[in-house]
Amino acid sequence: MSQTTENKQEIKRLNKEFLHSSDFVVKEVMLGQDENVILCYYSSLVNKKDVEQNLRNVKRMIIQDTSQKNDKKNSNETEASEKSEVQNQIVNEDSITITTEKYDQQKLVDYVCNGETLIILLQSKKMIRLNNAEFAHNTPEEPGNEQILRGSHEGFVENFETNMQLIRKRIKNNKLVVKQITLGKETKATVYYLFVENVVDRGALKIVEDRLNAIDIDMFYSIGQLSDYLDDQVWSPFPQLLNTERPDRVVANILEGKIAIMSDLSPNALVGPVTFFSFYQTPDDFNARVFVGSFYRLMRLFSILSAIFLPAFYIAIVSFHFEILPLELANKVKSDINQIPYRPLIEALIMEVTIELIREASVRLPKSIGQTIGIVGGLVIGDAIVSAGLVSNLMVIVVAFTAISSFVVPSVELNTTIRMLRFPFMILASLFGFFGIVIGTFLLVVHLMNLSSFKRPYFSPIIPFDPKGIKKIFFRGPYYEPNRQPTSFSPKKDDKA
Amino acid sequence: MTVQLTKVQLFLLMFVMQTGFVYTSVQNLIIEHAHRDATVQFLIVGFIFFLQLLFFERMHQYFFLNGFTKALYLVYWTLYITIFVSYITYVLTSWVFPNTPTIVLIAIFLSVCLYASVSRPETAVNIGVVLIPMLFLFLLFMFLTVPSLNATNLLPLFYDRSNTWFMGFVYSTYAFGGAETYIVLRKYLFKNEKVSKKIITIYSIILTSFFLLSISFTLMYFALDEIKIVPEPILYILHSVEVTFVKRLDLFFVYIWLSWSLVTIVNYVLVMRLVYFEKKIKSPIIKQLVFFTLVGVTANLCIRFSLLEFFTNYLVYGTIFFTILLPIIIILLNKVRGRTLSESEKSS
Repeated sequence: MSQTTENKQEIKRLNKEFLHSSDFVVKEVMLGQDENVILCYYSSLVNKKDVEQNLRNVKRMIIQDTSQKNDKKNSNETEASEKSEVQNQIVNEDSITITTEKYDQQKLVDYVCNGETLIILLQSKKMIRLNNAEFAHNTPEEPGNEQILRGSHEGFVENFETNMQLIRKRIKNNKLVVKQITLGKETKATVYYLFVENVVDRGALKIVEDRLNAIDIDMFYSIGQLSDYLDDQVWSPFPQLLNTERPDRVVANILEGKIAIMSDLSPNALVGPVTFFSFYQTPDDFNARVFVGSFYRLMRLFSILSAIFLPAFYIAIVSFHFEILPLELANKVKSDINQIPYRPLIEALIMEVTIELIREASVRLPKSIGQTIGIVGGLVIGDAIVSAGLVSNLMVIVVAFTAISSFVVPSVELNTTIRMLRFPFMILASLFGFFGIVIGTFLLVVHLMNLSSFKRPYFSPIIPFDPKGIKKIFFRGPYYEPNRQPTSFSPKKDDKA
Repeated sequence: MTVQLTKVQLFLLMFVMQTGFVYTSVQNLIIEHAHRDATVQFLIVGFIFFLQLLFFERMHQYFFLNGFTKALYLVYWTLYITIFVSYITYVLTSWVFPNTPTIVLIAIFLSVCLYASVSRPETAVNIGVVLIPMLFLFLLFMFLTVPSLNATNLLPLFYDRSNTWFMGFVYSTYAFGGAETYIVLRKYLFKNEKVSKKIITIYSIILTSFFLLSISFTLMYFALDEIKIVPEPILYILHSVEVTFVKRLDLFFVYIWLSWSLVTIVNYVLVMRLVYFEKKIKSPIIKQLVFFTLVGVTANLCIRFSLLEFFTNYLVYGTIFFTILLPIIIILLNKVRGRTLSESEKSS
């Protein structure tokens, strides 16, 4: 078999071994005078220029080495020294280590996953390791809207290689596969999706591939467009894909069989399939103590109730069901709201719209001014609006508590959805009291049950009912207990992955 | 239309359908007719129901509906839902909305039921799960009344029973109405799922205890003469409970029961869909819209105390026929003929 044919077969085998990942580079190059070798590396883990420079260095060294050997042969020296080169460090300069050793397929996989560049010399059954991995170190900043107390403070950037470095740094395994697709006939943007082979939810993966391939668009420039194309129900207010800028969150999810979709245009990754409860988990839950993590998770879940229902509940009581209040409290509430000229719904709308305006203003302004706006809005307007007799004190308390509850949600998407949901509930409560709230809740629950993320049930593990999974929503177990987040969809278990 | 059920889903559907319609009022009927023996008679009927479920499980392969029996069941369930819609509207009107037109209330809650029913079947199958925390909340509310209960009301056990021993049994069957859905839904269970005697026993104990608790509490709370004039004893008990954090606990229960009722309607309609749409039929959404409109209009016409009282007194015979007798007749006839469900499916 000729050298080129042998190399081609090996390249084919390596591509298969690395699951045709988009960032895996394997090619035939000329080394020395007439020797064809195989070069392979993860483009996301090494710098292309460095690879070329190192390749030139190796070529030069091999030529020198060959001429020295010829000289030695001429002087009848023994060939014993050649064997000692099986694992021999050739040169160590500028923090790049170049080592040669016997060709071993399993070791090759490990080295490439560790960010090394490998040159395979099939004829002599050797491989040369160029250890010049370039993992991203602390340069990517922590995303402002997903801050945590403990754990990694890295975030994605608008660059494929850097983002892949951040992920491959955490999963040094060739089962992590990246696939690439170009979207936008005019803009030609690159979108890539990643998953871990053998644990990935195959059905969901097929849906992602089909939907991505079906996108026929001229201008693609935003991750939001992608989200619209990938969602199962685009008209639902609920996000069906987890939008995150945190590599640790993406890694935790893809290790559970989910798929992450990213693009070069944005630091956001879309992760799916997810459930409603995926949005209530943060890396802090898993980095804190078991009890502490569980406690704060419970608090967060409790916040759903207060964030959606509290203003509606207040309106229903004040407008329809005054009799449920104990007498002492009823007197106070009555004397308070008797001074207000507006109906409770109008009062609540004034306050809620004010809060939304303050929030929107503080997001658009620079951080330092944003804080000032918060103080001005919260203290000055709050106090003035009560003194002017437009809104009752109780309503301010209710709206403030609701706002705090809604900001507890760790996902910006769900946070906005929940804030928006308050309004229909307030209107229903003002029309029908508790009856309206019950009807609204029923509609909401049915809608959540109808939703899916990549055709997987969105309201799992409540629907379909999984009592063990429900326990995991509220409490995080210790790591040594074999558990998986209840937001996963029982991907195939495979010890190899 | 078809679905695949797990054991948990099957029994959850059963539980909701057996409790949703009658839980607030059945105590009154049983105690009125069985007097102090209500608990004993109820337990005996509970045991019969347990035997019935065992029989259904053993013979389920002989149960299938032909055109006539299908029509009978569909008419019965439609009537059952309609009367219930009238009843719940009547309760809502008397407890919460005395001034709201009944048609508005009916239109609102039947619209949300329609939305749930035209959704995918899995939604209707699983929706009962959301009731579980509410039921615990309800039990908690109930136990707040313990200090006001008079345990000696359950006694004496020895007195003349000549007038109480038949009708008490009859009205106790109200609590187990809907058991026919077990045998209707049984064929939709996953092939690898088996229903053991243990599971049926557990389910029967849970259901019987749930009803028994409310019957005992009612007996212990009211004097026998009072019960006759209290149509929804559970609501009255909760109404009189005094706690510091809230004045009217009964209002919360009314709304818990409202959600419970909505889920029950959706589940009954699911069973009807499974029976009616067994073979693919065109425009199921329009047909369901017509069905709900019909139910709503008829229910609105029936909201009269005398009519509701009539139905409450006599619907129980329909329950006995459709829940116990008709399934047994169908099973025995098919067994004699040697026809099983699988053969019937092949021939159709």
